[in-house]
Amino acid sequence: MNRFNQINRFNLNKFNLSKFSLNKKGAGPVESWIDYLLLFIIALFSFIFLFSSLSLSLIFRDNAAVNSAASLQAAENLINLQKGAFADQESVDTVKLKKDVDYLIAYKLSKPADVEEIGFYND
Amino acid sequence: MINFTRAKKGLFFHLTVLGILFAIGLFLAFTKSYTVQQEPLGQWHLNLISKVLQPAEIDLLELDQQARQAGWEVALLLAKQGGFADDSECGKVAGRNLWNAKDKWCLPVVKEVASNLADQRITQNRVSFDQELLRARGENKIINAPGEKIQRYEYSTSLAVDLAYSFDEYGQLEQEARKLINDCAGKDSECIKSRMPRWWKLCGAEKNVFCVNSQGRYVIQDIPATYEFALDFSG
Repeated sequence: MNRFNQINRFNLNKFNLSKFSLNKKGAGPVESWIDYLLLFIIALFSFIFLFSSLSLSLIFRDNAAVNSAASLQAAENLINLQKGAFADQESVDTVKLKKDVDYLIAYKLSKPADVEEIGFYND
Repeated sequence: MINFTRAKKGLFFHLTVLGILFAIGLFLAFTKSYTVQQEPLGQWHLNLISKVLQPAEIDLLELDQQARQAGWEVALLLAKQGGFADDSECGKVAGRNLWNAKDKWCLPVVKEVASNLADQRITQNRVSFDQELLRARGENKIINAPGEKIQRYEYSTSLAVDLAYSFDEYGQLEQEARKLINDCAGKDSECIKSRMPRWWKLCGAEKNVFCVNSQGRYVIQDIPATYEFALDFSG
């Protein structure tokens, strides 16, 4: 019986819930549950910030990659058109072609929407 | 004393969590991975296309164009000069090169003359003509794109360009000319007029100066290929 009481007392001491009591006076630096809550909130916001940054970064980079690929495709089409014209025994203005391709590549992050209207395509 | 011990344990845990957060922050600050990046994914690959492959394509197109232009110039020049790069050894009549002087034939191998002339006009060498194709050997070119990572592209500038014109027409013209000389040498102009092929035309008043339109009806840059030459029927 004594032995049982000893074990019981030991367990109570080990898992003493009284230290989490709000009414407790003179709590230590992190003994209050509010400290843990604060830490949890800090960690939560840190992770939210981290993952939203990474997500935004990926979204922006993805958009930039799509725009770049679109510009490259437009430039490739332009070159292929001129190759076709060359194969049809037409004269090709390679200096203008180079300028047009450079223009498309230079604006790859913000390709002008009206690029067709200013004479980049011959069709 | 008991409170102090508990506080110490809690402080340790507290500092550990703060330390982990601080370490994450430090890592992000140094790796700069917290910044929102604007450059596209696959920058190296995109640069390879835009700074290396496409410029090379345009350069090759330009070289092809120069070669074809040179081939056309040579074709028109030789047609105008009757297949000769300079004056004929057999002489000239009314500004046209003579292909023969009595029994002596001076017409050169036109493809060789054309190759030499084209060779002088383009950066490639060993120019040859095969049916309607102009072929030439060129050196390899290298494009080194600037940037942190190496982008080096080497491509051959050898070419084969379709001229839509063949120098083989000279062979047929020579055969017709030899036959006409055999038939009408030492005879009057009526023989020449009656025996010359119907697509041959006399140039001006001279009875032995010819302007022959291309049998293949080749048109080079809107100019019909017309062969101008003279024949000597005095033999």
